[in-house]
Amino acid sequence: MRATGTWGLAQARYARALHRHLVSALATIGRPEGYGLVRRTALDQIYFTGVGAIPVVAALALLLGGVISVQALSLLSGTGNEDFLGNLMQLVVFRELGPLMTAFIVIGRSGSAITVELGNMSVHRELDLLVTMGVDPARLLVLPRLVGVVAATTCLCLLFDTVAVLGGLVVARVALDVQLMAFLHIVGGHLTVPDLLLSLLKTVVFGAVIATVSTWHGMNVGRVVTEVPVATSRAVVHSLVLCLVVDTLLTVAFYAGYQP
Amino acid sequence: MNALVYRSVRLVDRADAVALSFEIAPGETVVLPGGVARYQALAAALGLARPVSGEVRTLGLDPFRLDAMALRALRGRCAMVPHSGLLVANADVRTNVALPLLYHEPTRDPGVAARVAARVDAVLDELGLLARAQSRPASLGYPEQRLVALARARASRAEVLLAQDPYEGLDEPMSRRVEVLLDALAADGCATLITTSATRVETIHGSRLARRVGRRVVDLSAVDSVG
Repeated sequence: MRATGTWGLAQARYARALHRHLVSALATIGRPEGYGLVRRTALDQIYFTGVGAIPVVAALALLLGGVISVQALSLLSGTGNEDFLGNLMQLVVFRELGPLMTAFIVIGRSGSAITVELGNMSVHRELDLLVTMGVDPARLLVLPRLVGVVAATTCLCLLFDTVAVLGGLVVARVALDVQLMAFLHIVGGHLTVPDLLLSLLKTVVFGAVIATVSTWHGMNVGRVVTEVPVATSRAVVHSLVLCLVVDTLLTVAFYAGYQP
Repeated sequence: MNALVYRSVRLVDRADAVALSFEIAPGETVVLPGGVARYQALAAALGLARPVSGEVRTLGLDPFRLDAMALRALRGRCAMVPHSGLLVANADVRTNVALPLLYHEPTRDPGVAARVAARVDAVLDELGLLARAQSRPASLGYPEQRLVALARARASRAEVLLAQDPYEGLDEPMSRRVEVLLDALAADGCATLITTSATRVETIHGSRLARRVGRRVVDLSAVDSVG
């Protein structure tokens, strides 16, 4: 019981530290200082996290879309329930897989890279150097990464959803000779605005979680270089767990009692 | 108004800790000897390390009574060159030198950005570093990194320079380049506080030496009288 209490307190402290970290970065929005540097860093982050991940996300989405389509059609073919493929794509891709898979890719590619970069800056006292120059690390280091990761994750999720549907279409066309318009009608007919909004909300929150956790762990590395891989590992695991927790909470909050 | 004022400043909570009392006028250089918590002495001027007792005033302001924004603005008017963590590894030399200027100037105006770039290039040229402007710090030797860190102070027209052992580990030609740079900063009206464990630096610039007398560092003597 005592161990559980201690663990709970530690988690509460961790959550509070992450919250403060996020708020301190958001509080710098609108300040004029370092506008050009912040914008350039944010664009670099969008390029690295977003553009750099396009091939991986597209390939994964194409394959997963195809696999889902094959599995669904193998079950539904000949039953007269082919329309259920639309439901399945809506449920699996738009509601869950799109935001989650995108988040997982961003965590693996960018979240870890952010922690390593900031961790090394911390080890080599570069964060202290910025502070002595009157630079606010929350504005120059955290805010652009937050903006960059959120923007890139959202765009990547839209890409994932689109390519996954295309993957499903390719399989349906090749294996079962389903016509393009018919397939899009099946999938599109089941897609609702709340689904798209939730998908968008999830990606924004996931992006914020990944950027916050990654930057916090990076900036809290001490002076020893061996702390960097430990912090990176923690940042990746915590980002994954937090994204899943947030996903569960949002899904429950959004769909509990929801009737389309 | 003196640029830096230390009044009975004790930096560590020890019975044998020395107290610092001196003032530095614009364009003046003071060298602090060893044994006085040298890093903390510099950090206190920027509000980074709170003294156990006494008062520090930088450019007429008490850094420990400023709000976060005012403190950042004060730090933007100063420059610190510590032992380690001299440069941002992920940025090239030009960006490293321009960093405080780009951060503290309103760079939404492209004209300002161009002026900052011109100013930085002029300083790098003056120091013979223009050819290395696009180099990463990792490709520079430690003396060159130190020179770039000092160039940053010159480019940003720092009113106060806080340097930890600026000549340590430098060969004669590089020492000379640092000396010229420190002279140029002083000529621009920059108040410089140097901490060192070495003695030769005290013979340069006609600096005053903050002499340790018992448990107090109070006696500022002309270098000539130090001997």
